[in-house]
Amino acid sequence: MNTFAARLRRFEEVGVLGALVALCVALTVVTDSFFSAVNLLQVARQASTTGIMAVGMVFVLTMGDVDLSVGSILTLVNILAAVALREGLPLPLAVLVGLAAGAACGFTNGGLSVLLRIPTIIVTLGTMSIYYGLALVISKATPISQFSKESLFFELGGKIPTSVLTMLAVGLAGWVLFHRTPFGRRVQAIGSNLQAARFSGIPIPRTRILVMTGMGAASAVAGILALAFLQSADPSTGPGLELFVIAAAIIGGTALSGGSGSILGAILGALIIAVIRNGLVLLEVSAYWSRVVTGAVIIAAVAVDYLIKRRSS
Amino acid sequence: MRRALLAAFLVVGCDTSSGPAAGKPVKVGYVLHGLNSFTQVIKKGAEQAGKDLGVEVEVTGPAGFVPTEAIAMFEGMVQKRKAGLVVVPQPGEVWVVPIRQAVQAGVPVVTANVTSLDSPASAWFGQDEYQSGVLLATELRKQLEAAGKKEGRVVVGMCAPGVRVLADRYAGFKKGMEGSRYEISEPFDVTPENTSNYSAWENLGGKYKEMAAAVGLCSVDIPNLAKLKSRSGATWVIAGYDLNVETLEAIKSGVAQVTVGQHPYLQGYLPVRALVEHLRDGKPLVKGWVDVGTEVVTRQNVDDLLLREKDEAKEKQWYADHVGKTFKDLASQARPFPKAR
Repeated sequence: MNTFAARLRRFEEVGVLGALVALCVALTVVTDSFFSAVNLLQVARQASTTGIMAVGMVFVLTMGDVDLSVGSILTLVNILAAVALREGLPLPLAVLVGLAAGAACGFTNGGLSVLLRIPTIIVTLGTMSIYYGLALVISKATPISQFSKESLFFELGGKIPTSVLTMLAVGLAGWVLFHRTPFGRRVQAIGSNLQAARFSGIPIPRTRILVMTGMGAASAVAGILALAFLQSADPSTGPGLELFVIAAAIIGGTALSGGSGSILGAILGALIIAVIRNGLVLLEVSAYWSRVVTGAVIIAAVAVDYLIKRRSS
Repeated sequence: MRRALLAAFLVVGCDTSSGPAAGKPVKVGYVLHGLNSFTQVIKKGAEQAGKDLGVEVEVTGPAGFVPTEAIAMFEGMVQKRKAGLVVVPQPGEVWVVPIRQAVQAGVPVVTANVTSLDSPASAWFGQDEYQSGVLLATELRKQLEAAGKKEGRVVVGMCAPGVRVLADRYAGFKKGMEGSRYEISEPFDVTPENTSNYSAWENLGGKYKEMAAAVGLCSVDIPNLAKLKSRSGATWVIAGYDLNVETLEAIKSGVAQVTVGQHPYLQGYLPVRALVEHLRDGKPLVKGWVDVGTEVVTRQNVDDLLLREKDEAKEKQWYADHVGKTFKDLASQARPFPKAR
């Protein structure tokens, strides 16, 4: 038992996992419909958009950067892939167009930051507006749904929704990249001590561009999954999501100051946000109070994480 | 050189007087509250009015529905010395001062879609949101009766709590449902972002499996509710707002039952026409509220609406006929603003 407790204390994400479990237990006790397979799968699916992007955001934040354009990249990819389908491109090609566009947006963010020596938060503050504006121009600010939906792509999900499986796959790939490769260690080194990283010969510009490109690609994956699930593209898909993505990563234990991060924690953070939203409905919290409660619970979840971590150490 | 050209443009191309200016080119500005599928139809109407009347209409608006950005654009239009301005002042109260300043600077201003009772703008072209809620409730009750649902819970979603227009719609809807055996929920926050909106409705559908109807107060709701209903095999009735093609197709297929339209095209067309008739033709500027009307769409009339909304040429012709028939003389259509409720 003691060994188990000791192991658990060493488990980095114990705090955020504890907060998630506490939320789930509380909702199971006070509502009669939270703890059901259908509801839990729904919550997992709802977390997937944020979760997929939060994996990319862990790399960005760990490096000491912030990407504010992820919601807009999702919107742009969502619109571009739908336009490609509407214009008759085969599905794999339309998906490829979306992925390439997302990666290109991320590459642009990283490239501009390196080239102009401007912090990514400033660059992405600008590109957030540019990418969203492009989505409006391309879509003429109207939904796009006039394309064939006769493909398995639009029937995502058997028992476990495809977006949940994708989130897990992206999470696993992210975990391996972050914890088990030289690239991941370079990212952490840059965020821990930029000068030391530079002196030790780490290619900082290249790493930064790669991380931002990966972030763009992760946003593109989320945008394409949203298109498949909602079967239409709309400029109202994506705006504002960046704050939840950053929140998920931070709730999950990624330091805003850089240097350390947790892929698993980010996915747990996304799940916490989805559970809070689900819980607010199950508890019949009024529209006017729901945002207050969401904010308060997020702060409480982070506080629980800190408390548990402090006790463990 | 560029400065000289700009100066020449300002001198030659802009009408700085507020009164009638026969013979001079009239340039009208139109500031939207944001850019989405709804406001794109307003834009289309405004630009069509410009074409029909032979004047230049510049339509702009912030991408993200931020009032301060819209006010900055409006102030920019005043600086550009547009002969007259139309604005969608959302929310109406924060626009009172900018509109007053424009009017004091000699630029006639009319509002569209929403307004404030304190607004110094001469006229308002829009629908009574409260009354639209009453109409929605009236039609929903018929649809519920037809579906054999004589009682039960009606769950209402509000995509942006705190927005006056939505609060008015909800208040009207509740009023329209009074005296029935349906239990109307407080509005739930279903968020304007598309994926979150679907998730919110999914959560509500899971919580209230037995609900009789789901009512969305924003245009994003019906398409998402329709998808959710089809996927989950639910039987609740769907009601909501706006005439997106997806919404109309959901009604045509029988998945959704009723939606209410606000004639955004007319909200673009009519205020521009009112300004041009005043500035160029010397007519007195319309004063008061011109009700653009409300369309209630069900399976019975959805085919006509789909034809109109899908085909720009048909839309243009339909509205040309409608304007000719219903809005021949705008001044005679104007009445006092609806009272605060």
